[in-house]
Amino acid sequence: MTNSSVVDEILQKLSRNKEKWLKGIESTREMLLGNLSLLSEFSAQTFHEKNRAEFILTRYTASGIVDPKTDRMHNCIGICNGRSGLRNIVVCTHIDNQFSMGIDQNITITADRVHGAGVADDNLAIAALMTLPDILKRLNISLDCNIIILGTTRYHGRGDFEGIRTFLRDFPGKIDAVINLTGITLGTLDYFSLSRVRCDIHCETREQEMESSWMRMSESSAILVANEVISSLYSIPLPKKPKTIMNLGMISGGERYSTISREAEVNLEILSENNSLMDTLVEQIADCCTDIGAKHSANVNCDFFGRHDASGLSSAHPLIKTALGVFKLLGHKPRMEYSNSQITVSLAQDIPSITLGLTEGVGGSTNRSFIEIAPITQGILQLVILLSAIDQMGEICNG
Amino acid sequence: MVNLDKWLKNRTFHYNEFTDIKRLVELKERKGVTISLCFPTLNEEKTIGKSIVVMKSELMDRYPLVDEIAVIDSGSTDNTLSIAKNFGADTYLASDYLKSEGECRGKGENLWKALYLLKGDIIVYVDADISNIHPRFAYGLIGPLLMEPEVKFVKAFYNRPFKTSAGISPSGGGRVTEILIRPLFSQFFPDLTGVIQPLSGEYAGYREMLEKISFPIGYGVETGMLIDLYQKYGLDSIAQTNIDLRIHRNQTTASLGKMSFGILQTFWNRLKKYKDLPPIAPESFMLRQMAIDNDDYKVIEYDIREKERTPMIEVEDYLKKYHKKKK
Repeated sequence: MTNSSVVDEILQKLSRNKEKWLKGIESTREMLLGNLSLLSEFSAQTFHEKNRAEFILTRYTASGIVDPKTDRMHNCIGICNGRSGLRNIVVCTHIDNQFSMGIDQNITITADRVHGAGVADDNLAIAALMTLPDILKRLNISLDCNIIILGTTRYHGRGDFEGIRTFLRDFPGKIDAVINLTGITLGTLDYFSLSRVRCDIHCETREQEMESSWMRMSESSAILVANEVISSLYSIPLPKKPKTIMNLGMISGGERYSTISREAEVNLEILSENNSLMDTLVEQIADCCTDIGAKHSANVNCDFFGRHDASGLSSAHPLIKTALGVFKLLGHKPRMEYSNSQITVSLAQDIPSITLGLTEGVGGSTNRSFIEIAPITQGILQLVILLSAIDQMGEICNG
Repeated sequence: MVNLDKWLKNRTFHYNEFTDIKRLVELKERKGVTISLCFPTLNEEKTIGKSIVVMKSELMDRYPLVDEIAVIDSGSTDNTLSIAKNFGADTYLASDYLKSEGECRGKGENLWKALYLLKGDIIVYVDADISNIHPRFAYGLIGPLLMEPEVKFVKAFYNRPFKTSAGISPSGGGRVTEILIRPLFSQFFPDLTGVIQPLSGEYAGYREMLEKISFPIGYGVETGMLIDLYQKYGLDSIAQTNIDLRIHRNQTTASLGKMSFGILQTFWNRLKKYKDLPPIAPESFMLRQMAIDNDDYKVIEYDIREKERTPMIEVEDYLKKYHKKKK
C-alpha cells in the first residue's frame, strides 16, 4: 500500500465522524469564545508574557490537563497523554503580541464576529489551544500519541522565536510533528520557509545639541541620512531567480517639527529562496551603511538578527498529503505560502511542521481587526481530523 | 447601631475565596437550590455577547453552577436581544410580561420581572455594560450565599476605573455614593455606611427575600432594595464581595444628577416608611439642569418620577406560578 492510499483510507474512515464531530465542536463555541474573552484581558508584549502565561496555565488546568507547566521562557506546556504515548505531536501558537499594556485589547462579540486588537493574529489560536482538551473530551476522542499543547513566547521581533527554540531544545523526547495555529486565514497551509534575515539600521548624527533648522541653514539630519540609506539599499540589485526581496517594514525618527533630527531608524527584512545569497546581501548592506555614515559624518550602525535558513517539506510529504486530504474532505481551498512563523525553527530541525488557519477575518494591530465566528467550527474540525489522521498513520506521517 | 467593624470583618469577602467553583457546585447541589443569572439590558449590543459567552462557558458549560442565564430587556433598539439569544441566553422583553400590572420601564422593572420570569431560588443580577466581564462577577456573589447560612443578599464592590477619551483612568467613579448616599446613610441608616458600593449593579439574593420587598423601577432600585432588606432582615443577612476591577462607561455629571434626583425620591419614601419623622415629599418631579449654548443660558427640564413596584409576593400571577404548589 502506498502512503497516498493509506492517507485516503484513514480519511475515508474519519469522514464518517464529520457530522457528529461538527455538532460536538459547535457545542463548545461559547467555551472557545469565553477563553478568547478572558485571554484578551492579559497583555503579553514580547518579553513580557508572564502574566498571560500564568493565566493560560489556569485554563489548561480547568480543561483537565494534569500538571501543566511553564519553562524558563514562560512557554505554556500542557500534555494530553496518549494511550501509548510513543509519539509526540505538538499543537502550538505564540502567546505574545506587539501591544503595550496601554492598548485596550478588550474584545466585542457581535452575532457573527469578534472585534478587537490581536483577535485575529493570534488570540483566536491561543483560545483554540486552551479549548482543545475540552473539545477532544467532548468528542470522546482518545488518541494513541501524546498531544503537547504549547503556547510559545518571544515570537515577535527581537524575540526571534526564542520560545519554541527553547522548548525544542529542552524537550526530553522526540517530536514527531508540529501543527502551528494561526487565527486567520482558514485554508492556510504553510510548510516551507524562506531564507530570512532582519536588520535594524540606526542612524545618529554626531551633533550634541538640537538647534533650530533655520539657524543651522543646511546640515544633515538623521532622517536625511536614513533616506539616503533607503535609496542606497534599493539600488542593490536583487535576483529574480532565486527570488529575493527586501521589505522596508518600519521607519522612525526625529523629535519635533522645529528641530534637526538626531536619530532615525530603518527596520527591514530580506527574504530569499537561496541561503548563500544572504551572506552577500548582508555584506553589501553593511558596506552601504559604512559609506553613508562616513559621507554624512554620522553613525550608521546595522544590526542583523533573526537569521533563518530556507527549509521545508514538499507536497509529497505524507503530512502535507494528509492536510490536503483533510482540506478536500471539508471543501476548503488550500492557500499555500511560505511560512514566516515559528515552524521555521522546527522545519530547520527536520520536524514535519505545518501552519493552519482557523477562520476568516482581518488582522492587524488596531481594533479594526476582527474574526468571523461561523467558520471557526470548520477550522477546529480540520485540526481534529488532522490530529486523528496523524495519530492513525503512525510513523508513516514522519515521512 | 451594630458594631460596623465586626460586620465588615465577618461579612466582607474577596472573590478569591470562591474560585473553587467545583466546591460551589457541590454546595449548591447539597442545598438543593437553583441559581438564575439575569442581565437587565437596554441597548447593550457592544458588551452583551461577551457577557453571555463568558458566563455560559464557565458557569454552565464547564461547571453547572448557574441553571439559567436570561436577558431582560427594556426595549433595546439595537441587536442586544438577538446577540444574547444567539449565544444561548433566554431573552425577554420586559413589557411583554405581567401586563395586568400596568406598564413601567426601567432597570428596576426588569429586575422585578426577573423574579417572575426566572426559575432560580437564588437570583444573580449583573449589569451588561461591563467591558472586563469575568465569571467572578457571578461566583463572587454566589459564594457567600452558599457558604454562609445567615447571608441572604450579597452586593459587589470594586475599584472603578472609568474609560475616558484619554484612556483608562485608574481611580474614580462612585461620585453619587460619596456625595449623596453615604452622607444620607450616615444620618439615617448608619449601619449601612459599611456597604462600600451601595449602588453597584451586581448583587445576588435568595428569592424568598427579594419577593417580599418593593422595587423602585428606576434609579432608586439599589438604594431601596438595600434599605428594605436591612430593615426586614437585619445587617447580618447582607454581605459584600470585592470583585477587584470593573471597567464600565463613565457617566456625565448631568446623568449623575438625574440619578441622584431619582434616588432622593426613593430615599424620602424609605424615611416615611421606617422613620418616625415628619414626612418629606418632593414638591416637584421636574429636575432642572443648566446648559450653556454659546452665550445662551438654558434650563433643561427632566420629568423624573421614581415609581415603585409592590413586592412580587403580592402579585397574583406570581403567586400562581411560584407558590401554588406550596399551598
